Amino acid sequence: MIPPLIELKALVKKFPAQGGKDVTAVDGVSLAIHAGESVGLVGESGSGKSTLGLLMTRLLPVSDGHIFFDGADITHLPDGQMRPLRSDIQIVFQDPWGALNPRMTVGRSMAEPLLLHTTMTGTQRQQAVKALADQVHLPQATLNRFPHELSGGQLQRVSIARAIASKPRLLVLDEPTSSLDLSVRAGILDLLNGIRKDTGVALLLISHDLETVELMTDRLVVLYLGKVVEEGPTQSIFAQPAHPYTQTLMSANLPPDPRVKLNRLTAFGEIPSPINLPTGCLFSSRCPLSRPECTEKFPAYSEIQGQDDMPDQHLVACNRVPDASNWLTAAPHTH
Amino acid sequence: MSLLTVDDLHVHFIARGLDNQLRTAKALNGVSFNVEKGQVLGLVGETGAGKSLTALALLGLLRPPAKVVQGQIRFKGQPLGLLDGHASQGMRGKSITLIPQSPKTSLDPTTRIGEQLIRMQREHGEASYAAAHARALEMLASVQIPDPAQRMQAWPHELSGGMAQRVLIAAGLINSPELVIADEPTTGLDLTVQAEVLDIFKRLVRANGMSAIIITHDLGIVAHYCDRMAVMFAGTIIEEGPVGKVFEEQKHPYTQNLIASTPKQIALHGFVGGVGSPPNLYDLPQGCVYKDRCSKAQSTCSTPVPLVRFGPDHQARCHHPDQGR
Amino acid sequence: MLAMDKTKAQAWAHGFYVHAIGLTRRSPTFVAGLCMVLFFLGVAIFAGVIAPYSPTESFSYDILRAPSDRFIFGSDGNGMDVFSRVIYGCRYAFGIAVPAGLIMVGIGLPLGLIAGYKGGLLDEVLLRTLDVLRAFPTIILALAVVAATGQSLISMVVVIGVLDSPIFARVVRAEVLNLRASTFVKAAVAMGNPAWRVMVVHILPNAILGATAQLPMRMAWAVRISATLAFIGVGIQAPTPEWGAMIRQGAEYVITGEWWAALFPGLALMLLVLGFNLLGDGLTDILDPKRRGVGK
Repeated sequence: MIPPLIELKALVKKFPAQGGKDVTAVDGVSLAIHAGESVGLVGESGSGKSTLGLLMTRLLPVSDGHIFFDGADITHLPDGQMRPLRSDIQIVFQDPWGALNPRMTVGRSMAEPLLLHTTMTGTQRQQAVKALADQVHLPQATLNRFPHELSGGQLQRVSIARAIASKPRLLVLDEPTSSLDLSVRAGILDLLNGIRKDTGVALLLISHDLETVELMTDRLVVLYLGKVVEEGPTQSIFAQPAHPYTQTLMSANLPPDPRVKLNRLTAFGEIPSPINLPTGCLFSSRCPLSRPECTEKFPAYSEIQGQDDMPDQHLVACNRVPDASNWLTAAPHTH
Repeated sequence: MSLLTVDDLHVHFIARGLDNQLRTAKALNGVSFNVEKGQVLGLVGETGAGKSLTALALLGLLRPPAKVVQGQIRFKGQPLGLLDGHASQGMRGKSITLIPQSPKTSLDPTTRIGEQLIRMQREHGEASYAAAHARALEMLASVQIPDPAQRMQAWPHELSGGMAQRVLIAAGLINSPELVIADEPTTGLDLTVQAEVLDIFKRLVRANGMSAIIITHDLGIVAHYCDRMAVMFAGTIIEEGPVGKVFEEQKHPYTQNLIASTPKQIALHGFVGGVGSPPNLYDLPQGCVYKDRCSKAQSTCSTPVPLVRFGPDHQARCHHPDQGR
Repeated sequence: MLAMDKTKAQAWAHGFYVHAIGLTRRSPTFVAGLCMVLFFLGVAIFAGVIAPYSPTESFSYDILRAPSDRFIFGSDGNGMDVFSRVIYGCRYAFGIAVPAGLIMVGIGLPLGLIAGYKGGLLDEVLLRTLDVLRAFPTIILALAVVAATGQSLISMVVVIGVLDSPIFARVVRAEVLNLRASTFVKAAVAMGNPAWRVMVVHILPNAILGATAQLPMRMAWAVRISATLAFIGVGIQAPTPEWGAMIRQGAEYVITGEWWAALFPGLALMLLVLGFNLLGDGLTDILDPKRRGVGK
């Protein structure tokens, strides 16, 4: 078995909150991404998905748990040793306008990773940047412009170009198209697909948009209040979301096609505040299928057998899975 | 007679640029549409299309440097004042109401929500405090806010995003308007919360025979919550019709582009290339505003664009609409 | 050839004119302040040409003459021409404010940058120093140091520069704190930038804009405090034509009705400080809304 490219083991992140209590944004998440894989991270407010992205790229210190990259423990690696590794793990942020230094030309921003991680000369860097611009379909003329002169879509292409400049092996994308107009999103998604095909980079796509995630990812991880509630092949989860939360989430999706019949599956109330979490299964306070055992401790992960002999694991943290009573109504959301 | 008729509305913004020259941004270029009684219209477009501006015009909230160059809005046959709308003053908040986006900033942070709901009624004719109080309670219950009696005393900052949006819906519907305009009503809300909020909205609108305009950039919302849709681009409505028909037939190239850009379509047909930058309202092309981005553009596209009808309720503004479907 | 140059010059002049009008519209304060400061700067530079007499030339028969054709601002208690002395005084005003400003930036900028970005001990030290300065009358501090280090112009310049730097550092620090949370700084770290590069390449160029507006204000303070020190009798020796010293000497004669020796240097001081303040105000006007316009 090839070891994963990056592996998170029981990762925990706590933030201090008012009144001396801590807010646990990420509570014991374990996750593995293999080389060339595309993994989606979905969840709503309080799920911890953005925090997880920042932890993975070591932009936030970890409270507990471990991160392994290429088998090596990088959890508490000092800055000096972490920096060369950064050429391998890159991140693209949600806000295209804020992600670039407003005082640097776009071309200079794109050249920066090359300056930091390679021994290229100035001329070589310029050539490389021109090639990058072509790769992301950015007109050469934009290279000398400043960020405020470009549109959102163009800026996101710049961010992507900058992220792939050092030829990373893992690209974390935090809601890469949420701030962009509809007609622009498709181009960015297509670009990312193309890059994945050409370079074999692994992707972690953090998104709240289910349609995008279905299109772009091989595996899916569903987060709820800092814990993984379901994980498995994307197609599997979309076809048969096993966890009651995943079922409600999928059913709330609005496909842009009036012919599709909606089948709304609802939970009680709203997502609780992360300061006041229920005991046991975090979804138990809202789950229509909640049983007494659900509030005792967090359920163990059960494995779902896939349809058409799926080789990968489809794991669900729900007490009802072993007796197959985890379905909210007869037919979950289908396409 | 339609409940609302927007007739060839042209709105320009005149500003002085950094170089001291006067420049005109043509924000709305001949917007025309109708809303019938009991109908929900979805106004779809990307940033800069002019959707929010249209809402402001409908509410009589346009102010200089906006200038209405041409056109009229009629509500139940009567023209509405568009700039500094004194005529609309009586209507705004009573017959035509707005449910704004960003609930956190749209509620008065210094007043309890119960008081705000009561105030809204008394500003529009309800004299009795007791009656207003009762109605406020009733509205909170109808938007499914748990424990409404206690919630009446809540401060806006104590509410979650979804709760606050529901309060805004209650505020918008409390005076039983005939037309409700919901401006991006679910921005910033979680998927599951969005679904609930929209369900509540639709149910209340239908139950009370109201008409509604939902302004959104989300095609999913249009597909499942609207009866008719109007697609806007650069201040022009480029296609309008029943939701099912427009999604199915997609007569205008921009409509096709939007729908083809949804992930499901990309999965089925691959990526349809060519995007281009947003339109420059200071420098719109002659003839068709979509010309510079259109894959089917020809020389005739520089001439004024005809309104082509496809049946009594479906039309598109295009020289070469798709006849194929 | 000349004709072509002329049209090019005309185009340039027109462009300049348009920008000047644009600037005036955006902030008349800025333009007013700029004009005043430039005026005094011009006077300082061309002092030798403008001043009718040498500032230290003493006319023993013309002590305390009222303003007249010969002595436009009158003559002072030593028979020196007030007008010429006020003119040469500009040199001293700038001669103190500018180097002090440079010292202030030289110390305050890196201090604020590192304190803001790294935090920790340096930040604590800076903040406590600021607390002390706020509580302690700066003038006394300046007085003590200048008196102790020998009464020279240089010591005055250094003291003012050093005393000013924590305040400038605080402004820089505020900008840095804002920027530290911004996405592009996170991106810079994620890319593998060492801390020094994040500070110098990413934070500094963006922090400088906000800090620049403070610069004229600090210069105004420097001019004022140097005049105050001279007024007290510290740092400047007679017969140096420095405004503060001139006011001090002239103040003695106001009671007996000879108002001109103190008034004119006082006016000049007030106008220059006002000019700097307007300049700083105007800069804040221009830079802030423009920054909101840059990017979406």
